[in-house]
Amino acid sequence: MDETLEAVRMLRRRLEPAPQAVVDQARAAFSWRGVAASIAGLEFDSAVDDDDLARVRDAGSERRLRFRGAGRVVEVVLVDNTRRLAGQIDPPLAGSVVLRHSDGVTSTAAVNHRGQFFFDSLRHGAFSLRNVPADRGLGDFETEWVTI
Amino acid sequence: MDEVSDLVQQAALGDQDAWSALVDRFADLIWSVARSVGLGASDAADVSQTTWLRFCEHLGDLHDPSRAGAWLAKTARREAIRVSRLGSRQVVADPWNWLEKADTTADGVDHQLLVTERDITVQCALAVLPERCRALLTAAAEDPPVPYQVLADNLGLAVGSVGPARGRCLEQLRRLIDEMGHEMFEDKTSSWART
Repeated sequence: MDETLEAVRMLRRRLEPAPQAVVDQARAAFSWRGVAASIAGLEFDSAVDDDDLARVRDAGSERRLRFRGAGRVVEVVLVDNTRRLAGQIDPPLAGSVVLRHSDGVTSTAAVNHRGQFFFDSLRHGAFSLRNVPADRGLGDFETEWVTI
Repeated sequence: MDEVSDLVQQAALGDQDAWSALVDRFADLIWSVARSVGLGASDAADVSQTTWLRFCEHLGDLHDPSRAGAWLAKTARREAIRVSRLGSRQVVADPWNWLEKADTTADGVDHQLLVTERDITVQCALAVLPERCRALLTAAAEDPPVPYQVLADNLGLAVGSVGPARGRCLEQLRRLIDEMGHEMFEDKTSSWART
């Protein structure tokens, strides 16, 4: 048999298909996408990137993420075994933040005058934060989805 | 304009059916990539979902929509590596929990360790092929292969043109495998590069 065709045949024998639940969730993800917003990309993740703090602090106690985009930086700290989240937008932007989970569940928190916001009970999977400025003339922006 | 580009552009405009078609095409590939890093079923499910959610966000701004397959594979790989480095992730409520039971196969073979870079490349190239080519090649790869007459009937082809059509598809697959192999594994700046 042709070598390429043989590779296709071996593939079908060796590889397991994605479970149906995974496929269903992937299809459902489309309905949760919001109105187009700027994306703040993940710039730093303490789980995989190194920085000065990583060397002095206990790596297991917290996870730090930094997102950058739309002229702003969002710093996020996940504590209590990634159950709680503290965030900061710099420069500060009054308004609210919507925490979106990969299963479609959302919750909302206010942003204080220092640009800080807090969430108490993160769910399993991945999350994205959508910043909704009080001044609707400024655009929304979202952080890139990250698995926690 | 190829099929994948069309689907990406339609999905970017809000077409759920186009999105579902993309999921159907590439879900297995993303799953393979996540498992090839050594992740269990629950972690692979998380990586899969994160990858699709990111894809959603980037539908409108992909440099080359026809390369969505490689984009998905690379994104899944980066996310899978990230998750694999998280160490013990304690989870309060895990909706994927039941998948862990599916980890052990009947013959005890650890599937994820058998997935090679070449497998991923071939799988990605196959997923990107036009529908008809995929049908022809997967039918030919069956054991025993699907008879030409059955293929001819299913695909609306004359029996005599099944062979040549299959040959052209095989050639197209070979070219795609070659291109993707370079793109995914030989670019030293990509996350696929061995450390």
